Amino acid sequence: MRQSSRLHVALFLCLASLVPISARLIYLQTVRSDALTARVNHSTQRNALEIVPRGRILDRRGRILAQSVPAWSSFLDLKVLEREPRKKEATLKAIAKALSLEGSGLRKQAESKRRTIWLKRKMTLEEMDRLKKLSLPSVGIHPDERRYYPNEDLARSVLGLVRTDGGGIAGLEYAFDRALSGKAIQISQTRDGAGRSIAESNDSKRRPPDDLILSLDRTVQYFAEQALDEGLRSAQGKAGIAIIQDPQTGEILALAERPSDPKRSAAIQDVYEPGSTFKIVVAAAAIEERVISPDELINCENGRWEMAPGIRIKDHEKKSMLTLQQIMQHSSNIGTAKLGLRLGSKRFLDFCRRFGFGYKTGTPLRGESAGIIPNGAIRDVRLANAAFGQGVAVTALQLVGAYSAIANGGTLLEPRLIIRSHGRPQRGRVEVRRIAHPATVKQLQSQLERVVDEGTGISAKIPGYTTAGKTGTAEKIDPATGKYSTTDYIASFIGYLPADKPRFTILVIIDTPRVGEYGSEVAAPIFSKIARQLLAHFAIAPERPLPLRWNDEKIKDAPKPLPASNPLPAPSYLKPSRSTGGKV
Amino acid sequence: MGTYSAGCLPNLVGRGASPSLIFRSKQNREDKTLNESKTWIFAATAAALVFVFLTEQVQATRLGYELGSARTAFKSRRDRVAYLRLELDKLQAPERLAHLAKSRLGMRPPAPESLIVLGNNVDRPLIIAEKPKRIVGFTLSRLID
Repeated sequence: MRQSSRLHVALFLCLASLVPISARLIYLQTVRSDALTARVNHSTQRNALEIVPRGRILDRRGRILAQSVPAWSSFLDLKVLEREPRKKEATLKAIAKALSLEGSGLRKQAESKRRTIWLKRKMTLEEMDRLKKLSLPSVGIHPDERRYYPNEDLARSVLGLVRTDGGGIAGLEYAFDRALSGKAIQISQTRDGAGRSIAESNDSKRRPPDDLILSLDRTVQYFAEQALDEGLRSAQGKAGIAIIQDPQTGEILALAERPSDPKRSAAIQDVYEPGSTFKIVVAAAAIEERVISPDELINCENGRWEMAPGIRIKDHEKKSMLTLQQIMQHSSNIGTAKLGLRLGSKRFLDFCRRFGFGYKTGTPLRGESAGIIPNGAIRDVRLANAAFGQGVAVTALQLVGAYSAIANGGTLLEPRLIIRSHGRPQRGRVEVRRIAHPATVKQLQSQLERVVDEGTGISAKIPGYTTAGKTGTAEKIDPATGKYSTTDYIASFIGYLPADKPRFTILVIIDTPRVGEYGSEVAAPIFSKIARQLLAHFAIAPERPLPLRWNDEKIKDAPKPLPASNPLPAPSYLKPSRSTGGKV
Repeated sequence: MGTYSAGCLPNLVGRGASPSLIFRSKQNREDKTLNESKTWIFAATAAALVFVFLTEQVQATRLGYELGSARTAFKSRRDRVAYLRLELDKLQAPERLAHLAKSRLGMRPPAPESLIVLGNNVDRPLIIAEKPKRIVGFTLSRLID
């Protein structure tokens, strides 16, 4: 055989052996391609969901009120556990120790016929670290998140509540659920045989949720809650509310409620009969509608007036002839009822609405009540009652808004609870309407100042500062009889300070106090305590000089104010020198 | 067409080869050499490309591993930061601070008349948090306390 022929045979044999290999290759690459690709992807590709934590809720100074942190839930694969029966007991013991679980309970759970059982939901980082160190093949970890309220009960009725799965169910958590919810990010991972990640891609377009910034101030909220707690303890009251608002902007600085219920907010959802704090509406209407002149005297019937057969109105002080100023100062029900009757139901109800009663305030919290204000004309008996705040019902937030309107010169503002949401600032000061003419508001302010200076609200007085306010003591309806109770009251005080340039409007309500019953005895001291803390915290200088005190002891008399015409004495080093006689 | 030295021709002619054949044989040999060179260049280029490709793959896998481990470390640190931030806020809770100030240091809230306010602070506005800073998908606000 020639050399070239032998070469051809060898080449043919080589190529012939490649034919089945090539045929197999073509078969795998074409016919089995999809199935094999799927098989490879199944073993190397992983699609995972990464949990993005729910947005935070911060106070006005950026301090955390609610935050979600990563948490982990662990489970036990019973099938894997059963593969090594000899190690089962030791494994369960180690798990119980790492997660601080009861060993007997865990052993009982491990007898379950299910494939997997939860070991612990929402573990902390430390627990997760301890569990990871054990490197148990039968234990799996599932990423989760946990909602923390670092200040515990602080402002919980406003913040609300989330479900186990992280969705909001009450309060701001519910109202801003969509904005706060962290949507899971899908991640595609390529892993090697050992399960290590080689490449990862994620849906980068999805942004984590924005923070929600509230108008509440954590420190101010604490002052309100602490004072309310102490006040409730000493008065042995059933429940209480304290609200602090900035009357110039409508921002709510604190909203304290006791008992604290994260599922609802009594200040917004519940209504109550305001009692004498409502008399301001009649006073405003009487001045504005000129149904009384400043010097006119009203007969207050020595504290007892039978306005209709069987219908008696009583005052807690026996007074005969009083001016409007004195009616407010002594909180005369009879005087206010007579003014209400002079006004008539139409004008009275019109003023109720001007002050925002009967309308929702527009707070983002759900379930807000509009209060109970009659729609049409009302009869005299009801009108007389409504004039001193019985037979009508308001929310605490409405009442704060009404007094803030008086404090800021007559503009009713929308209460502002949110400063920033959805990544952008929210509307600032929102003016609803003017409640009365500036001259009327001026008179109301003066009347409220006199109430604290010389009237029923004297226990709210703070030395050095002018305070304006009104006490309220409302009778509660006894559900058993359907009549007003003679033992259960709602004591309240609402006021603002400093009166010449108001910074804070403060409302305190105590439900069913057992030690003391009047707003002046129960609520006004709480108002005073909160106000003193606020003045010190915000370093608001007294309007009048005060003796310097240290630990309640007077250490120096108040400096005498200099006459306006007398200029401040110049320091000695600035005095002109005798020798030169020069001027400085 | 190649050029030939005059010295070569007489030898080939002397062996009975025609001059045209002599030229063809020389040309074939030179073409073969050229083809061999081309094959070698092609093989070397292919080998280099395969080498570069394989090196790239190895590098990509290595970087993938590094990226994966860095990502895991980042997530772990991010979680730790979230916990620490929370812990900090828990420690700064007013209730806790007030309790510590009262019980350990014997402090109590000052009365407004105990304060001497330097300058006129009446108009000091209430502080509002700046826009929270966003860091790699998570937000961290400025510490103000």
